[in-house]
Amino acid sequence: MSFPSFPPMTASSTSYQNTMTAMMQPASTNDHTLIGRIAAQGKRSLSLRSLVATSDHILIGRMFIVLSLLCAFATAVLGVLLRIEHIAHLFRLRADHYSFMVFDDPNNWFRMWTLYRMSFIFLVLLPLLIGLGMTIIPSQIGADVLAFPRAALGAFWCWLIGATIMVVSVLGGGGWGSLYHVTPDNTDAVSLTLLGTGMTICGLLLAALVIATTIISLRETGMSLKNVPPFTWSMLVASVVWLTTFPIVIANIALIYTGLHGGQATSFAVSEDENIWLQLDWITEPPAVYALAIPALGIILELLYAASGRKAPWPTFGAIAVGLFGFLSIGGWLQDFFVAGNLTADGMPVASDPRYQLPYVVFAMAIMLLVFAFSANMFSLPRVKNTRTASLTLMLVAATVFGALRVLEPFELLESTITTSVFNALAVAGIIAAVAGICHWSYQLFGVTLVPEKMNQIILILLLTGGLCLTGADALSGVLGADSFVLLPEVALDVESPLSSQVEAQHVSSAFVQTFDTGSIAAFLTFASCLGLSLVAAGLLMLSIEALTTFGRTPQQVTAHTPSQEMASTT
Amino acid sequence: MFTAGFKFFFKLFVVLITAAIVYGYTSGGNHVGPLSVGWKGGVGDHTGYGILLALATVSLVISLALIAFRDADAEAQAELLNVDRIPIPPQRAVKASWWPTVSAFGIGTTVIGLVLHPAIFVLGLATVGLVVVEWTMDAWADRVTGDTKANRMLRNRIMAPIEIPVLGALAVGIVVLAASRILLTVSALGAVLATSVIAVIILAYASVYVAWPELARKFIPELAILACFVLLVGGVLAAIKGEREFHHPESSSDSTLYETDTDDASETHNPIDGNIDENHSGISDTSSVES
Repeated sequence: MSFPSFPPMTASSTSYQNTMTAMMQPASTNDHTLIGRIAAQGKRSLSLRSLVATSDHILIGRMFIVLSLLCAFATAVLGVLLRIEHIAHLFRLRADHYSFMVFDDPNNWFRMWTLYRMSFIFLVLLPLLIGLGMTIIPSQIGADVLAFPRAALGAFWCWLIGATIMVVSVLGGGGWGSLYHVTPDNTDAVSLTLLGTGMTICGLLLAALVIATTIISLRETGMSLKNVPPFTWSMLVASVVWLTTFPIVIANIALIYTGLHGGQATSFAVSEDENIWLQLDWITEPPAVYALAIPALGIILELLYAASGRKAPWPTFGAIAVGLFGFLSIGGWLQDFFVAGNLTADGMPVASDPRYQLPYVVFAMAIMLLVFAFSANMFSLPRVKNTRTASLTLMLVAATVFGALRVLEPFELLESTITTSVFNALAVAGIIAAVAGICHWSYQLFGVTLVPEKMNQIILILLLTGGLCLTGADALSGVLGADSFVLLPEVALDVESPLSSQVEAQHVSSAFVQTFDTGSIAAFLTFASCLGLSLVAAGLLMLSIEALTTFGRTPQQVTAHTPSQEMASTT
Repeated sequence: MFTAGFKFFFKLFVVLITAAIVYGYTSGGNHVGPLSVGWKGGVGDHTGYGILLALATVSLVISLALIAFRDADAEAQAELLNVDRIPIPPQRAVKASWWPTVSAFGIGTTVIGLVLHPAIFVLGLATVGLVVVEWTMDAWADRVTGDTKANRMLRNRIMAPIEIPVLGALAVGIVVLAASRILLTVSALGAVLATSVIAVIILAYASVYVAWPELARKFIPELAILACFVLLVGGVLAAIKGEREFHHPESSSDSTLYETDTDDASETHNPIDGNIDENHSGISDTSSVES
């Protein structure tokens, strides 16, 4: 078997340009170049065996994308159910004061609420963007393969099995904590949830490592880091940030697991499982949650380059902006572990001192303004690409604006539902980024135009409208004084003496109702957010169906989507 | 001489280390603490100083790595190799392999075993250990010669005598352990039904295999994977739910069949023939009864 080989080049030649030009040529099925091999895949049937043992990065990337799209739809539906429960409380639709309409009791509601958040991070956003990166990046940097293709396959299965263990154990009574006091009955299930989460994260970290290594070591000779396309650069930054952030979560999980099984390994470990979520929720809050959206910036720049047919002004500045965004989204230092022992000079907990978050917000705002300025010339672009870029930019700007409002001292919104709105805005922005990327590179991913233009418009409008409804309603609720749902476990912990489980459940139900009963405006806003999430779910369903039906197809032709290629194709 | 990547990351290092020092002094650092990483004097706010210092260190390491490997700079590489033309390093497509997937299943089994049962944990560890050996051998065999067929033969000559018995034992172990969890959880009738259905499926598959061997052979891996997945998920659910309650027979004569520790330690009932074993050996002297 021969492998693709490009002609040797002299030190002064521009092999990068030549190779990219070669990659634009139509595929021939009997050649042994990258294009030929990929085109030849079209003749092979896609069997379960090939999914299990493949070393083809395009197929591995597609498996990540399709499964995470399905997870995204399921997660959005779960979010809708959670909000329906919320609405049932606000509109008094329940049989009695303590009963629940969708979920059995507050504890189940809390378990699903945590599952919703963890799923969006570990089952949707990260695998979606990693899948996109695995598929696109090798062709962007002139590589034929990923750095460790077998490790990439191992990462996928590690993620899938870990996610299965995580979700099954949550549905079986586990979860990341409980509203009630210590519950020995579900210790095993909680342990499985923790270990499943750790395994899922390990799989994703391995995939991030593969991507980072590919970018650093497999770039074509002559392509320095300064010349890599924006999406590749953003994935490098994102991979490094994820590799520095998520091992902290694994360490947290190890400490919690040790504490849960009776061993106080360190002063941080706890033995009461209701504290679990409070130790892990920092990954769903700013600034750590912004790390999920780093590749979205790269996709924005990539779309602008591609659509305008020329490089945007100050490309280096754009790369620095992406790097800064990544640098500022490192958030392990704000986790709740440090609240008790790590106080500021004024005696305030680090996590609640706005000054520690203000610099981040200033930088994030600056970067968003920069991106907005880049988008200023997009009005002359084709309509679909215009919609993609505008939707993505709008959601990212919304996320950073809400993040800024959250920490500004006069508003006192640090522990309000605006935190939820930031999370949801970034989740929807990440999904829109992935959708834009999938549509933009659909030939490389699926061999066809995945979504027809009209449907593309509909999906994007659904996602954008839904996202704005969802995040706007949550932000407004926060401004009107609604507390963040994260406070629920603390409410439950107010029970001082050991109580019977029935009394305890009633107490928690009562606290739950008090948290939600904030008047008719709150009811209206919750209804709006539910509607928004339903629209997002509808958009995801359409995209999932389209991706599933085209999953078996293989790419017919690979076109490079680097800025220089886009310029060449435009001219 | 210095590549673009090196210059970028080294400048970043300088900016970050300067920021760390300034931050250290402005947040309460004294003497030469911020300059000496706390060796002589305080560094001020530990969190901020630590983050900036860590990022500076990472930037320095990346910049050194980039200059060491010449950051894909053709001219620099040519100068390093003392040649005019740079040979393009081959990017070999690796062949398909089951081991990454098996390793993920092994890790999953280990995770489940850590919570549920030591035997499952050991089984998972054994699987992971096996994968380490197999994956290493595959990686070695991929590069041992330029001929793919010869590579495969070399690999099989070393590994086949080991992997066939070990894999067979592992497969049986996984099936037995996971299936036992499920059968112990469902009702007695459910267990009977489940085993009957499985038996029928195996019989049906065997019949198909005899009739159309080529067709059946195609689906062996698919069926094995599906079965593993079903067993894994079923095992987790069953273990979370716990074993069903086992009711011992109430009658006095039957209860002796299950109870070996009686209040009166001098008398032990022999479960074989119901006679009392006075020697506590579990084997009664039947000849004395006959006499």
